[in-house]
This record gives sequence, C-alpha cells and structure tokens, in this order.
Amino acid sequence: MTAIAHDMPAVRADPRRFARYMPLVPAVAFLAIVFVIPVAQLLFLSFFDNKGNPTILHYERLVANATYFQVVLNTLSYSAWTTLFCLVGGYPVAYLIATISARQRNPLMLWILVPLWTSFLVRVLAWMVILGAQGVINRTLLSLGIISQPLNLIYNFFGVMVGSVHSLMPIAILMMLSVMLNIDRSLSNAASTLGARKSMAFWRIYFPLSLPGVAASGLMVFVTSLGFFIAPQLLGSPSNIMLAQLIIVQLEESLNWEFAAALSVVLLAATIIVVVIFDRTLGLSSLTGETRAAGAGRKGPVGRLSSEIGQRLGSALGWGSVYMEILLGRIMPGRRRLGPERRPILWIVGMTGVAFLALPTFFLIPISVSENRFLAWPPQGFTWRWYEVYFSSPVWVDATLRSIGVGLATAALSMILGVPAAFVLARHHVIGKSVILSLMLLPMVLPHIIVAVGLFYLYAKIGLVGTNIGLIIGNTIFSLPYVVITVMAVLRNYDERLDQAAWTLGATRGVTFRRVTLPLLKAGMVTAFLFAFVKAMDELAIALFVADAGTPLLPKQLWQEMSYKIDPSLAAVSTLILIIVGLSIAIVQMLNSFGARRRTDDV
Amino acid sequence: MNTKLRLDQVAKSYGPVRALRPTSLDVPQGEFLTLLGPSGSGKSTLLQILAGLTACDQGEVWIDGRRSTDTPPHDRGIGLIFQNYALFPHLTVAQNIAFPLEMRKMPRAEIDKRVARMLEVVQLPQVGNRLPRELSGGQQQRVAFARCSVYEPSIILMDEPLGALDKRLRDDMQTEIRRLHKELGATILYVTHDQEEAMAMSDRICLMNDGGIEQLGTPSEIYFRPRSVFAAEFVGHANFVKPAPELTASDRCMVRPENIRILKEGEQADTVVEATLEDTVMLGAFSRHIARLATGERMVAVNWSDEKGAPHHPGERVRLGWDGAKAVMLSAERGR
Repeated sequence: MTAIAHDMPAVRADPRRFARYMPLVPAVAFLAIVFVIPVAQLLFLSFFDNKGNPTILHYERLVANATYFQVVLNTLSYSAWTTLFCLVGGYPVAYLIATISARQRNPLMLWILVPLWTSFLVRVLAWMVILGAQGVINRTLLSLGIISQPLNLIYNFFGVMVGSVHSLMPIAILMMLSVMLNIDRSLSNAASTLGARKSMAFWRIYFPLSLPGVAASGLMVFVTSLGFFIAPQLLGSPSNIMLAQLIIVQLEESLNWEFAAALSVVLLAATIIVVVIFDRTLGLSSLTGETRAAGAGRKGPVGRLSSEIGQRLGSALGWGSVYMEILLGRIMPGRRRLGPERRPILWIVGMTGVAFLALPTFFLIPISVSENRFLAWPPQGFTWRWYEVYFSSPVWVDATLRSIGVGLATAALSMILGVPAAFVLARHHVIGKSVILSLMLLPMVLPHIIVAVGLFYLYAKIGLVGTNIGLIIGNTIFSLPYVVITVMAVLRNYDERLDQAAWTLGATRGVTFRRVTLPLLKAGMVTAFLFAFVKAMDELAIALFVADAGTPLLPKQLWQEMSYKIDPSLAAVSTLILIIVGLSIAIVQMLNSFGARRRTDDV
Repeated sequence: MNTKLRLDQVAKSYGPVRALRPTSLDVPQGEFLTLLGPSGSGKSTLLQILAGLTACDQGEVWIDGRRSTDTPPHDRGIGLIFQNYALFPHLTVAQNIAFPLEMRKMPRAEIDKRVARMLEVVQLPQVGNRLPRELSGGQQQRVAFARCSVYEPSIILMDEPLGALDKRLRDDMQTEIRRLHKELGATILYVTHDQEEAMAMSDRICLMNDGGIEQLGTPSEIYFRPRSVFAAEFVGHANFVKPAPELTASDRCMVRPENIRILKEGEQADTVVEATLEDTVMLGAFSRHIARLATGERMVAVNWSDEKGAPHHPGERVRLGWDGAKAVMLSAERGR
C-alpha cells in the first residue's frame, strides 16, 4: 500500500476524480449483486448440510468416493485434449490468416466468425447429422464400399472431442491471430537477409513471438472446457461424464443442492488453479492482448527455464526443417524463380481447418427439408413439413419470440452498463483498473453453470425464477464482458485528438460526442450490441436453471428436444437460427466495410 | 573499377502501379551510394529487389559478377538495415547479433568472440544481455548496424535508417556510419528522402523520381549541374527565370540563390534583372532576400549577412544579378 501511495502523490479530494469513476459504478454494482454474491453464497452453501448445520460432509463424500475423483480426472483430461487439438488445429489457420493480404483475409475471417456466432446447440446438432450411424460420413463411406459397418463416431470420446474442438477453435484462432497480427513482418525479412531460410525464420523468430497468443488461447480453451456439459451430454457416452454434468444431475435428479455446491467449488478451484499457474509462468497480461515478448518482464525461474527450453526447441525445429528443405530440394530439383511464396501445404492445412469450422452447419439446411423422419443422410424428397411443425407449435414460437425479446433486452442492458464502463477503462488511468477489468471479464472464464446455479439460489429466495427480468439479468452477466471487450477494442483504435479538435473548434462535450465520437464508433457499437444479443440467444446454463416450464427459451427447448427425440424439425429451427445469425454478421460486415471505405476516402 | 552490384533493366509493377521502370545501375566496390527521392519514387522497391525480398518482373541482378536475380535473400550475403531496425524483440542484443553467425553454423566460441568485438565497435559493450526495447533509439540503431555487419557482408543496404531519430542524434549517427563504412570497407547503398543527409554522406547520389533514375552523380554534380527541373528543385533551392528570347520556350534557366547578388549602385553582372524586394530574413551567417520580378516571378537570393552594408527594406526596388557561368540551362523534359 505504501508503494501505491508513493506512486500517486496527486490523490487529492478533487471531486472530478471521483466523477470519473461514476460510469463504472452501475456495471460494478450489477456484477457485485448478481454475480459475486450468488457465487460466493454457493461456495458458502457447500459447507452446510441440508438442515443448515456447518459440515464438511460433502467434501468427505467427494474424497471418499473414487467415482467422483474419476470425474474430476475425466474433466481435466478432456479439457487438456480439447486444448491440444484447438491449438494444433487452430495455429495453421491463424498463421495463414495473419500472413495473407488483407483482401484475402476478410473472407476467411468471415468463415471463422460464422461458427463463433452460431448457437453451440445448432453446431452440435450438425455434428449429429455428420457423425451419426446414418450420418454423412458413414453413409458416404458405406456407399463407396470403403466400410461395411457404420463406424462409431458419436456417443464416445471422439464425438465429444469433435464437438468441443469445433466449439472452441474459433476463439483459439482469434486470440492467436490478435498476437500474430502484431508481429512485425519485417522481422521475418530481417531473418532471411541475415541468412535464415524461410523455415528457420519461422521457427526461430515468428513462432516464439506468437507463443504468448498460443498460451492465452490455451488458457481460455482449457478453462472454458472445464465447465462444458453440452458436448459431453449430447455427443458423449453416459459412462464418461464431466463435472458440470454431475452438478446438473445432483441438482435436477438428486436435488442435493449442497453437494452440487461442493462440486461447483471443485470446478471453481480447478479453474482458479489453472489461471494462477498460468499467471505465474506466463503472466495474465497476454490475455488482454498486450503482447509482451516471451523473454520479458518479471520472470521466475520457471519462466526463465521455459523460455530457455523454448529457444532450444525453436533452434532444433529450425535446423530440422532446414535439412528437410535441403533434402526435398535434392529430391525435386529444378530452378525456382524468386517470387511470391505459394505455400501450398499451409493453404491445404489452413483451409481444411476453415472448412472444418465453417461447413458442418450447412448440412442442416438440406436435412430441414428432407422427408426422412430421422436425421438421416442423404436427404430424401422435399417438404416444408418440419417448418410447419415449428410454426404450428406454440411452445417453439413462444420460445423463439421470448428468446429474441430477452436477447434484445439483454443486449440493451449490457450496452447501458458496459459502454460507459468501457469508456472509462479505455481512456482514463483509474486506480484498480486491472481489478475492475478482471471482474468484468471473469464471467467469460468462469463455468457458466456455477453462475447459473448461484443465481438460481438467489432467485428462488426473491421470486425471480422463471421471470423475464431474471433471465435478462442472468444473460447480461455473460454478455457484458463481450460488450466491454468490443467497445474497448474499438476505442483503442479511436484517435482522441479528433474529439480534442472538435472542442477547440467550439463544440461542447455533448455535441462532440453526438457529432464526432458516436458516428465514428457506430460500427463498433452495433457489433457489440449484436455480439451481446447472439450470446444471450445461445446461453443455455441460464435458460436451464432460471427459466421454468412457463417461460420456454430457444436454447432450453433445443436442449430438451435434442436430449430426448431428434427429428428434422430441429434442423428447421436450426436453419432459422442460422438465418438470424447470418443477418447479424452481414450487418456487421456491411458496417465495417462501409467504415473502411469511408476511411480510405479520407486519405 | 570493380563492379560490386549491377542492375540490368530491372523493373517491377504492383498490379497497374509501376513501382520501378526498367532501371540499370552499376555500383563499384567500396562506394557509398545514396538512393535519394520522394516517397513513391521507387527507391525502396529497388532496395527490396537487391535484397531479394521482392522479385523483379524483368531484368537481372548481378552481385560480385554472379547472376543473382533468383537467389533467395538468405544466400545473397547482403546486409540490410530496416527502417524500424527489425531487431528481434524476444532475443537479447547479443543473441540478435549472434543470429546471422548461427545461421552460418559458426562454432559457439567464435560467435561469442565476434559478438563481443562487434559490441565494442559500435561502442555498446555493456548492453549484450539487454532486450532491444530496453535501449534508446540511437542504441537500437547501432545494434541493427552491428547485427548486419558482424558477418562481414561486402554489401550493406540501409533503408532510411535514421528516419526515426531526432536531429542531433541523426547528425551523430551520420558520422558514425561514415566511420564504419571506412573501417569495414563495405559497399553501402543508402536510401533516404533527406537531401542534406544524402549530400553529407554519399560518394555518389542516385536521384530517383517516378519509378526511375532522374540523375546519377556526385553530390556536387547533382547540386551544381542538375539535369532536370525536378533535380534542381529536389536538391537545394532553385530560381527559374524566363530564358533569353533566342531559346525555345520549354527551356528554363536555373540559378541557385547563393549565386544571385543584390547589386550595389553601378555594380554590373552578366545577367541583371529589376525586382521589388518583398522580404529579408536574417539567418545568421546568411540573409535570405525574397524579391518579385515585374513578370510576377519570385526569386530568392541568399547572400552573406553584412552588418555594415546598407539595410534593405520591403518594397525597395533592387537590381539582381548573376554570372553566366552560374546559370544552368535545363530542358523541361526529364534529364534522362
């Protein structure tokens, strides 16, 4: 504390200093009441029995029973595998996108964003169509005579992995990409004029510089997948369940709230341990996109060792690939003309990754008009029947309208709370900025199920379960971080001197905001709003625990139908969701390209 | 004279944009040649083609008498110093300097010895273990120079290496680069858009404009004998006057400001014009006089400041004069 006091001798009782914090108050208060308190309460609850007496019984039960320990191990290994595949699969895609021209980049980015914005449940349904016993892969291989029996691609570890990796790879790619785009291209050129071949330049220079992005994506994917239950439940086998599924079972079937709370504590503890280990070795700052060189800053012995190992590894890989290159050159001689690189292998690997992310959902469209009763490939005939089922079902229509309404209200509330906070965080030096920012972003990494369960306890006491208000508040917890991140990113690129110019030209602060700031930030604001809206439409954990039979929601309805009966009407619903998402993305792209054009016109 | 580098009809287009017209250039061993020109004149493209970072559409590049048009950059043995230095941010200063030696598979002991010696040469013996961003701009510049000369390339290309430095540091570094040039005996190709820098450092200047070479010559040739209006205007200040009646209208006559005198009463010169003085600025050693001719043309004369001479006032009628030998006849066409 004394250190802080020394650094900030300017702290005086200046009312303007406190006014500066005012825009943060609503967001922080909101999160304190509906996020921090419920989660804390939940943790508290785990130390009591069902009569309200303090006990550590639940933890004893956890430790005593080897099955629960197995579930924890399952969850950890599942997350580790998901992380590995996301990073290995995502890296070439991110590298490809980072190193092509901007003109080629935009369409590829679109194909990464489409799955990111598409409801996870819809994507899981698509994988059911592709991987099922009568699915695309099995039917194709059977008809080609390559296999005689359908392969078991679903309801096992493979299915879960495919679904989870598909779900998390876009985030991994975007986080790696944000670091890669900041790597100065002249560094690779410098390496080659200094005598390094392309492959050597990559392993010694580019790869080490991209590692902070890899580490940040790894953390994000690992922590997110710890709380996953959708893919394990719908694509996995019942014998191999995850922690989050166990929590749901305890709540919905055993009605053992206290034990569920204890399980949530384990999940939370695992999350926190991972984050702390990450911070100790690599530093959390790489998460917020502040690129730091791998060998930089405060660094314990672990960090030094890992950077030492990293350099040795880079060197070994570099020389390995150089000899490979020379060898290949011997096998396939021929005078190569110096020219733009074609990099066929990178293109093939990268585009395979993009296809893996972008294509699956499109298989739902033909299924939605197929006469076949099951999600069987290939589609047969043509019928609007499944759309009729959807539109004539009051539950589906009610769920859709409510989801859209709740989504719009959530996006509005997230903007009201998030935009002022983002302005303060992006533009001013506020004391405790990192703490406040961490609080805002925390809901993104915490397993949603923990927050949802905590809210359920709170709502049960104050009668908000099954209300629209309750749903909007719950969804806002998760949409808020996306609004804050998006708006902060837009503000980082905004030239504040434009505002200053407007003031010196005689505009008041209000007029400046309306005539200069807002028009320039419009595209970013709309993006933030739509992001919040789409996230809210897709939020299943809140829908499961806060909605009730009287308040059907789209994700909950999808989840229930997918768990019990699967028919093409689900594909019809999914197609409609795809259309909504597609329109949202189209709006964002149009706004962005319009903004870009206007900027180039100015030059 | 030993030709180190030869460009033979090298050209490059980016789509419809002609970055470099067919250009030929010979650079002898050990020369300090500056590519001078405004942005977009093709000088950076030329450098990129020499380094092998950009492929040319046509023509040939010869290095040390070997055809090198298709040699990849890592095999050219050319040193390139980038505008932003391009120091590897994750490697220490010593590791940065060791990088090209490692690429040449030099034994570790030899690498350490050379790195230490190079740090001495650039007068930074203490910073080997620091990261680039812990250094000042001038220090980074010297590390970039050390990294690129440690493997003793016989050709060093520099792409506006002093652009990011402030004026004083830039002057120091100019001297430094001149010193290192003499010490290492390397052939240096230096890109800049700063004419004073080009004058101060070069053996020869290659003036570029609009994707081609405008004029090639020593600094004094370019300054005193520009071959085109562009060359005259880009290097130094130029006065243009209507040609004598016997010349065609497209030809112009150029006189440098320091060669125009304000004539005293009765003083004569080869050419004399009448003008009205608009402004006089005392710059210390020199004074600059701005005058307007009856035809509306503006002329600038720069003369030694004279404390005792009669002071000039705006609005005053003066006679300006210069010697015929100091006037340069220019064709309005390009000088090539």
